Amino acid sequence: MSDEQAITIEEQLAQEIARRENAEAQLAEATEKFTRKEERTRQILDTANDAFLATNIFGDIIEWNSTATELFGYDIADVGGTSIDVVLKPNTNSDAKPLDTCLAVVLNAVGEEYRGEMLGIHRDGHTFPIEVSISAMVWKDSFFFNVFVHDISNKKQMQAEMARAQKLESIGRLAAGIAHEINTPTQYVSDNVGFVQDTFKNIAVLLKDISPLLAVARTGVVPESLVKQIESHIEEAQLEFTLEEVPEAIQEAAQGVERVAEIVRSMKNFAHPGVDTMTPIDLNESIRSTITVSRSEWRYAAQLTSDLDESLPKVTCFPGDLNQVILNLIVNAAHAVADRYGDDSDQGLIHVTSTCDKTHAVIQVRDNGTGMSNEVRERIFDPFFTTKGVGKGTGQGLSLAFNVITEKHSGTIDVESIEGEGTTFKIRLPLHVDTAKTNFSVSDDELGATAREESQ
Amino acid sequence: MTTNILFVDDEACVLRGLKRSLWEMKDQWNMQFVTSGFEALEYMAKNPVDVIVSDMRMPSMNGAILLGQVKQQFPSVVRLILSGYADEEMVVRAVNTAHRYLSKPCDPVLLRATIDRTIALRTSLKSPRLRALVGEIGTLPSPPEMQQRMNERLARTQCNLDQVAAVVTEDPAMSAKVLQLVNSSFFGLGREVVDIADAVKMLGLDLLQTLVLSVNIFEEFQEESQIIQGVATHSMRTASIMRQIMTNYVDDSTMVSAAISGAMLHDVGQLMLVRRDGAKYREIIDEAHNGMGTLIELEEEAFGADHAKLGAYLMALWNLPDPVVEAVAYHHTPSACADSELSPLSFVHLADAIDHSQENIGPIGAPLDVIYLEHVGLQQAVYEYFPAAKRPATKPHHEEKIVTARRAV
Repeated sequence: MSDEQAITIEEQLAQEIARRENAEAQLAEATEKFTRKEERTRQILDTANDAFLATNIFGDIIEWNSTATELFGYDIADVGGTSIDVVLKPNTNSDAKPLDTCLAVVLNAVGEEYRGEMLGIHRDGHTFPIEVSISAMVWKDSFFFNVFVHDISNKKQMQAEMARAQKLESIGRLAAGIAHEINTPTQYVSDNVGFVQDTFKNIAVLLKDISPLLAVARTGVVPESLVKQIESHIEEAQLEFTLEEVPEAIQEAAQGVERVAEIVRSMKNFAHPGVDTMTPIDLNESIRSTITVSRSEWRYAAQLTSDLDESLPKVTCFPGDLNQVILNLIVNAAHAVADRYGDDSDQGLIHVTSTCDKTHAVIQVRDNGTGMSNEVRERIFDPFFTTKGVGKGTGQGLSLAFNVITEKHSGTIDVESIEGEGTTFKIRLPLHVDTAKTNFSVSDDELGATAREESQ
Repeated sequence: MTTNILFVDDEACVLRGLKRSLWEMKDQWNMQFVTSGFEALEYMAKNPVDVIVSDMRMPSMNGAILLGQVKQQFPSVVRLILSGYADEEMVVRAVNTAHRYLSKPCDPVLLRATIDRTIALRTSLKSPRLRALVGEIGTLPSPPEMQQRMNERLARTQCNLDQVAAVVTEDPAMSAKVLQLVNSSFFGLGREVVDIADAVKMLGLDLLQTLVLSVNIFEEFQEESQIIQGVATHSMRTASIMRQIMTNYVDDSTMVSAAISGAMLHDVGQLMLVRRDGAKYREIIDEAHNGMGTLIELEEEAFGADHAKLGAYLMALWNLPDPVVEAVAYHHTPSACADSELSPLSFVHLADAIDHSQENIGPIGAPLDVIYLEHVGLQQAVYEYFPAAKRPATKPHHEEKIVTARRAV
């Protein structure tokens, strides 16, 4: 019995040992598995195309993958324990600091995760556009923030290039129209001047008759030959016709020159060369110039009327960009009207207005063109969305307009449309602009410079 | 006789300016001025008009549409565009309806000269029926095979200009069209273009595509393709014979180009007649082959003018350079040309006769003008191809002489 018992104890011991060994082996295996898994996770993070960083509840960085090192120029040793605000900052659309944004995620104030555009701050001080995705995580009773950072410099640069291309495209198209606008008055200026030049030859002959006539008039006897000569000169000069036509010819030539000057002035006003900062401008003047330079775009499709509020205060804006937006709206209106009425320019109507309320200047462009369906209306501000045929539109105009108005000017652009009846675009621009806030604008030149550096 | 000229422009200022700058012409020209296409058509329905000068871009009815209407309703009227629009595509789109395209601002002297020239041309073609025949023609027929080749090349993604130029230079109809375009004041910039390949290059691929695919210069003309093909092949052969002869006589490359254009276009009048009435023209050719008369006589009889005269009229309306127009006009009768120096005409006349003698094309009815050719210094070339002509040619205009010459070959 005791033997049996002894055996049993031994057996139990052996079993125990085996179990322990087994457990140890399992533990070792689990540990190895875990280490392998962690390594793999680490590797996944390090080879990710996006930068990854994790912070504690205070926003202090505790994790940092190698893409983050590449992107920001810091090692984990450099940034471990420092605040996330050292490497991220908000772009102009928002005042919220990245850490505040993180906390907002925890409080569920912005949903369970945050996704948006910010600026990254490189170790050397330069900033670059990024897309950030933040999620909160609770682990072992502590809060952590996982932050993925996607570099969108290329995308931004492409957007800027598209905007530039769109601008060039519309300038190219305008150029043909403006040439027409200038060639037409030039034709009648030169015709009228040529006419005055020709008729003056005959008038000069007549004028030369005055002195001898005066001389004989003093004597009181005018010889018949002189009278005959003057009569024949009067006939040659077709005096009546000339006296009637010449003043008109001069007036119309002067009008033509004024019209050319007006077009040139408007072109300058439209393009605002050299102005790439926010400037207070007379919005009505801007609208008028844009209407003038785009005349040949709308003239053959519609009657264009405008009703501009002369009491409008000066509006601080990027004038070139804003004019580009107004141009896009006018050209779109002309196309919509042409699509509805064809060449019948008597029926097409485009109406441009400016008004203001206490806080905003409001520009409206209304047309009685084809209008658009709800599906179309919902997508018109999307880049590359176009209902125009190939070669007629790139789908950039309105998406550009949206960016210019909302991002660069903190304004709004809305559209109302009834299919078959017409469309109204309404732009609201804040009258009082915090210029400090708007100086973010990544200007074309800056991006151009980056692009040049990169290509070298 | 006064000429009736109608000016159309939506800008009244332009019309008043034109009226003043042309007021000295008021005794010779009856000038009317209207501000829209509708008014123009209304006026033309009630009054005689010889020449219409229209703006291109106008509200409601643009110049191309107006001239298209005029072409249909009043084909004998000469149609000019005077436009300030600087869009090349617009010019190309107007090319089938407008005879000439003038750019604003246009020097009054040039405008007057252009109108004078078209008036002079009109008087050369007296019958209104003939003027209408020419006026109806916006485009000339190309051989179907050529149309297909052109469409195929233009549709290729890697289409290059040299390949396109190669097709155009083999087709009289397309050659005439591209020369018309580049010699409009819009493209020509005052410089005359006589070389067909140069013209193609000046237009560029995009405009050629517009011309062929959108403006549709081919107009789906399928009748009597055998005659059309015949004209194209004969013109090509004439050009190639001529090129060979010219190497011994001429260094001036402009003259060579003009002569080649002349050779390519010398029979465009035949294309016009096919276009006008293919079945009838086929009959005439058959009759000529059966010895019922010469081609020229039969053309005169049936249509009122021969193909040389008609072709030259259209080419002049299209403002092709004078040496080319002369080569077309007088390729049967070089002595009738005011210019009796060695010119593209001389070579076209000779090369045309050589090809006719080598291929059995049927009696044209115009003999080789040996005296003229001797006068311009081409006797060696004449004797080489027509040894029979070497004998003292007392009556060079006599038909038999040439018949002998042909037998000798």
